[in-house]
Amino acid sequence: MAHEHDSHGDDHGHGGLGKYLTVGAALGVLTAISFVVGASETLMQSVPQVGRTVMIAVSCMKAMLVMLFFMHLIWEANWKYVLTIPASIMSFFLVLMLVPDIGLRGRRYSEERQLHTAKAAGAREPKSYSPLEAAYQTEQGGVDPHGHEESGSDGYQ
Amino acid sequence: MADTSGHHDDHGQIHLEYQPALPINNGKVILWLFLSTEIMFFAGLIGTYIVLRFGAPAGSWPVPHDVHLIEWVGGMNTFVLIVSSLTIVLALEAARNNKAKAAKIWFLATFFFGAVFLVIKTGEYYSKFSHGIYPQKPHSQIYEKADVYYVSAVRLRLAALQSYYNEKDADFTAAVAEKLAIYDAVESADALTDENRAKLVELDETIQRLQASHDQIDRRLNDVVNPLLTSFASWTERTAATTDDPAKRQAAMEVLAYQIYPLHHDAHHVSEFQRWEETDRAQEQAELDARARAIYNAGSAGLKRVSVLDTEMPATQRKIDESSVKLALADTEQAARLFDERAAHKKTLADEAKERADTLATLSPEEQQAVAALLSIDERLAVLDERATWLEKLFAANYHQDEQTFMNNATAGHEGAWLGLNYDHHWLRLPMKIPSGNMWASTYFLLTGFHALHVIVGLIVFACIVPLELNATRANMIENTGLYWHFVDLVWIFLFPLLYLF
Repeated sequence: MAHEHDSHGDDHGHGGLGKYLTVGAALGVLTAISFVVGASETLMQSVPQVGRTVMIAVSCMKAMLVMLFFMHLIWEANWKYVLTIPASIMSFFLVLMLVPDIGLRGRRYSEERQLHTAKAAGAREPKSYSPLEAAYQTEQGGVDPHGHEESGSDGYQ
Repeated sequence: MADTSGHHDDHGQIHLEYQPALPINNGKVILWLFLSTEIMFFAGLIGTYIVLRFGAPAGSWPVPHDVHLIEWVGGMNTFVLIVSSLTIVLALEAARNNKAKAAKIWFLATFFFGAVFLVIKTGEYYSKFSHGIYPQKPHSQIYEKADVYYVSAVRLRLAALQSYYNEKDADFTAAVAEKLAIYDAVESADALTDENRAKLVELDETIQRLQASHDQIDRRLNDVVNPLLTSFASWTERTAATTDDPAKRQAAMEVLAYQIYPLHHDAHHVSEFQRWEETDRAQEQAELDARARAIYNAGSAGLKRVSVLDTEMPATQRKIDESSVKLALADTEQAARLFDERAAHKKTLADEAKERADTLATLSPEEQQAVAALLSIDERLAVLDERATWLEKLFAANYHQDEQTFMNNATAGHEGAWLGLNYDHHWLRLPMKIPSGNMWASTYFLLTGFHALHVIVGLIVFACIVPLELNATRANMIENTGLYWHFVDLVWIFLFPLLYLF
């Protein structure tokens, strides 16, 4: 939309009360959507990935609306790409570099984590649960409720 | 980067126009450069939060309610910032149309909403601080796991509370002790000298003055702090130190952590651990009872007598203590009667002690050892008994299989859920077990703190601009301020779902 204006450097007279109010209302509605999604326990407990994806998508839409209309980027010349895209790429790589050491820090099991896992394993089958049994099963590498690949036999931390 | 555009003039020649800069004003260029560094800064911070949050061991990152985050408060703050973004855009629009008055109103509205955001944020920070959630240690009461360090931190906090309240109550205790000392020094209540009586009146005044504060302190100490120290913290520490089974050691500490600060997903295994403890306790009680009975039945008449006296003497001592308290609080008229009552109890105790010593001397060395064994069995039984009593009283909750959580038996409020000793007695502020809680607190305060700093800077800039005449000549200034303010809004748009809803 509004691409016919792109070549103009001058941005006077593009906004307009109606457009701003529409964007403001859209932002309010989107906030309500992410609130409803985040607060619905059934959704966040059964398929949290879906809920989180929706919320992030909503946030990105809100961010685009604010940048394009409130910050007038939709009506700016091409310099906008020079300032925003490299900054975004660099911050993306900064975060990516944290993943191996920080993001995957939970991949190695410690002794306490085994106990923790044992407890979580028990929480799934309340009736037949006995903490001792569960701890024993996890030690044998039998139960791995969180779906991690390693069973922890390659060394404790 | 010059934006060049060529067009033909009348003579068929191409005339090139050269623009020395971007087609926007210099202030805007600088502001956008600044914003691009801000993008990197906040994207780095937010991205780091995401990496830390999803890299945390499964189920260990605190959910909003574990750390007193309320979703709708965050939602309201999001809405407030969006409205402020809208009003500053409207201020710009009005200024461009040279409507200075309308522009000022919209600008003031923006300032107002920014301030509302900060007020709500302050309230949120306060609720964290009042629950012992701080970004770092001296104040923070967050512990990552229920281990021996955690349990000893709980004990230290309770001991600190105990000595704090004892010190606060010191004047009252001293007055009571002095009063009793005066009574102890005389044969009967009639034998008091005039000097003594004057002193007693003086002490009575002190006691009456401090009575109300003493009662409150006494309730906190005797109903909460002291039993928590002996039957919860020290009990757990002892169990963790003396049990061979590592799973049971862990269980004892998890139970303590749950009693203080319940995390919903711990409820099930804690109920299981409590059943363990109950079984173990009943078994130990039965064993001790049987042993005591065996020793008693096999003993001579002398041993039996000593054993009976050993159960009677603590009861007499309790009677003396009770009448001492009564005497200390009594006025002079009742004092005579209470004095005699106390003297009678004291005499009983002295007689019993003498009889016990005499009887003990007639026993063989083996039987004397048996008496000591009986005493230690009684001591342990008393500890077990106390644990059971206080568990029922202070942890008044039972596991509810359908709800998968502990339900408070004592109160029906708050949908009956057990909210923890820290909730029931907010002044306790005991250390809490919140897995990954310290990491959460660090990132939460860093992210929201930097964002709040940006809001404050924005408000300062607004305050500088508000006194000006906001006509068309100020449009650029308002636009640049607005760009900054929209960025602050953008950051919050991402912070809200990440911090409150994930």
